[in-house]
Amino acid sequence: MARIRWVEEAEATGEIAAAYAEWFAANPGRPTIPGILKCLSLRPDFFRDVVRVSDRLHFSDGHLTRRLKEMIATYVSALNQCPY
Amino acid sequence: MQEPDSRVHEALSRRDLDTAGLNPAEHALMEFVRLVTEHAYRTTDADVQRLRDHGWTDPQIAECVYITALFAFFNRVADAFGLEDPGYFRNPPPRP
Repeated sequence: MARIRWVEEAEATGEIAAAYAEWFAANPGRPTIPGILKCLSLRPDFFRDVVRVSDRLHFSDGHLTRRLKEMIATYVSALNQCPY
Repeated sequence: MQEPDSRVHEALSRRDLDTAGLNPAEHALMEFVRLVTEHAYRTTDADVQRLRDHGWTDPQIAECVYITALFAFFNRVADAFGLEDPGYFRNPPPRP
């Protein structure tokens, strides 16, 4: 559990349960919801927005290739001293 | 997160642009990523023009800013919530 409350998969109900189910359906084979997304679980609507933004902007070739975007993500996280 | 080739990932995770095997255009783009990450307010027209001179288009430059800012968002949320290290980095960035 993070230091700010979030909703675990097993306790999810209603809106966030539906949002989790959508994420699992779109990510077959993944056993759990990534922690970074669970941080957003107290606002299921925002959870969905961020999933959509991530898919559309990051996890797809756009003007930049996915490889380059992964490089940017790695470098930014290192600059921010954040291992996540 | 899909891993770029590990040598590049390794060097970038150590914030080392010089051993990441980047071509000049990628190196310039990463310098811009650092600028936007650390002092976005210092960005100048010349910084953007330098990227164009390296062949980057404005749509690419814009998307680079979006990704850079998006991961600043993720980094801050992850740290504020206290997510433990998922092990993406073999040696996690120092936290002075």
